[in-house]
Amino acid sequence: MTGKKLRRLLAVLSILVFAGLTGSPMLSVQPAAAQSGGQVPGGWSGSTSDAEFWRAIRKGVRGTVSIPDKKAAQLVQSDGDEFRAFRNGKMASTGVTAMIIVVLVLFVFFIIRGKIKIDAGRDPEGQTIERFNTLERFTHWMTASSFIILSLTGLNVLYGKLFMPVLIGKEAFAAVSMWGKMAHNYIAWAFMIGIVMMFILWVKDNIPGPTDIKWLAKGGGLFAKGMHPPAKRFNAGQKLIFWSVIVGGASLSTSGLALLFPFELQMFAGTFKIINVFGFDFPTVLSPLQETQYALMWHGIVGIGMIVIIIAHIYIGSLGMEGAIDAVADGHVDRNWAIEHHGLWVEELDNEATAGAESQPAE
Amino acid sequence: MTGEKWKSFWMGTIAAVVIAVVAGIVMTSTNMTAGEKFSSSSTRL
Ligand code: HEM
Repeated sequence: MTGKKLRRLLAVLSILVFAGLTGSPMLSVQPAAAQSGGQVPGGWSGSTSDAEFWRAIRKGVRGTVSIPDKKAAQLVQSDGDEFRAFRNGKMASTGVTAMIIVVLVLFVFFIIRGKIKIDAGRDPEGQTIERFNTLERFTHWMTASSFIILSLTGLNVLYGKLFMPVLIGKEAFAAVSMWGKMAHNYIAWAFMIGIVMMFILWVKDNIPGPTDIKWLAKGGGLFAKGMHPPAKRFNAGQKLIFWSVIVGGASLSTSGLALLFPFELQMFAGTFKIINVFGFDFPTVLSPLQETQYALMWHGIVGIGMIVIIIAHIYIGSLGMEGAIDAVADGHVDRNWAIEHHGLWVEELDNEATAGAESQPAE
Repeated sequence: MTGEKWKSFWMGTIAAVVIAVVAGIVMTSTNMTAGEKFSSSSTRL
C-alpha cells in the first residue's frame, strides 16, 4: 500500500470514529427518542401500544408523504381485501353460473326447437338479397374476432389460475397469461374501433319502433314453427343485441382504458354522483386505488355479461338458424330467408327497386 | 372457411391483428422510461 493510499484510509477511518462518538448529523446513529433516558413507554411508538398502531394502519389510516404520489400515504388499503374477496368469490362464481346457464338454456332450446329452418325452403331460383356490404361484414368480423380473443384472455385472468396450471403446467400457464395479457391490452384497440364503426354503420336501422313491440309480444316467432312476426332490417332481438354491444362495448372500453392507464382516468366517483340522484348511496369520494378497483370489478362484470349475450348471438347466428350465417359470410342471404325474418325490409327494398326502375327513362 | 365467401372474416381478423400490433408498438414506445418513472415529479412513484 502506498503512503498516499494509507493516509486516505486513515482519514476515512478517523471520520467514521469521530462521527460515531459525537453522534454528528453526518452519520445519524442517535438513539431513538423513545429510548432516551432508558425509558421505553408503551413500546417504541410512544404511549400508543403497537397493537393499536398496527390496527389503525390495517384499517387504512392515512399519513402524510412529501413525494408526488400521495397514494403512498396509505400503507394498507383495506378495501383491497373486500374487493379481492368479491372478485374471487361472488363475482367469479356468478359469472361462471351465468355462462353455464346460457349454454344450458341454448342446449335445451336446440333440443326442443331444433335448427330454425327456412319454412318455405330456399328460393328455388337461388335468388339472394345483399344483406351486409363488404364494409359491414369487415366491421362485424374485426369486432367479433377481437371480442373472442379478448373474452378468452380476459377469462384467463379471472379463472385461469383455477384450472390452467393443472391442465398445462405452471410454466405454460405463466407464458400463456403473459402473452394473453399483452394480447388483451393491444387487441382492445381493434375492438374499440370496431364498436365505433358498428355504431356508425348500423345505428340508423336500430332505432326502436312500434314493430319491435309486436315482434317481442310474439316472442320473435322463436318458439313456434311457421310464425314470423314482421320486422324491418333488424328485429327487436337484434336491436337488443346491437345496443348491448354498443353500450356494453362503450362501458368495457372506458373501464378498460382506466385500467390501461392506471390512476389517470377516474370516472367512478363522478358516475356515482349521477347515479345517487336516483336515490342510491354510492360513495362519491374515492381514492385512486378504489377507482381502479371499481374499474376492474365493473370491467369484469360487463365483460361476462357481454360474453353471455354473445354466446346466445353466436348460437342463433350459426347453429340455431338456417341461412343466417350467409349474411356475414358473403353478405347475400336467401330471398325466402329474408322474407320470413325481415319481411318489412324486403318490402322496402322491393319498393325502392320499383321506384328506381320507374324513374329510369325508358330506352 | 376458405375462399371468397369468408373473405371479410379474414380481412376483419387480419385488420384486428394489424391494429393490435400497431397499438402494441405505440404503447410500448410511449411507456415511461425508467428515468421518467422514478423522477421525483412522477405521480406513479
Ligand atoms: C363466431 C362469432 C359470431 C357469429 C357466427 C356471428 C353471426 C352473426 C350473424 C349471422 C349476423 C347477421 C344476422 C342477420 O343477418 O340478421 C350477425 C350480426 C351481428 N353481430 Fe355477430 N356473430 C358473431 C360474433 C359477434 C360478436 C363477438 C359481436 C360483438 C361483440 C357481434 C355483433 C353483431 C351485431 C351487433 C350484429 C347486428 C345485429 C344482429 O344481427 O344481432 N357478433 N352476427
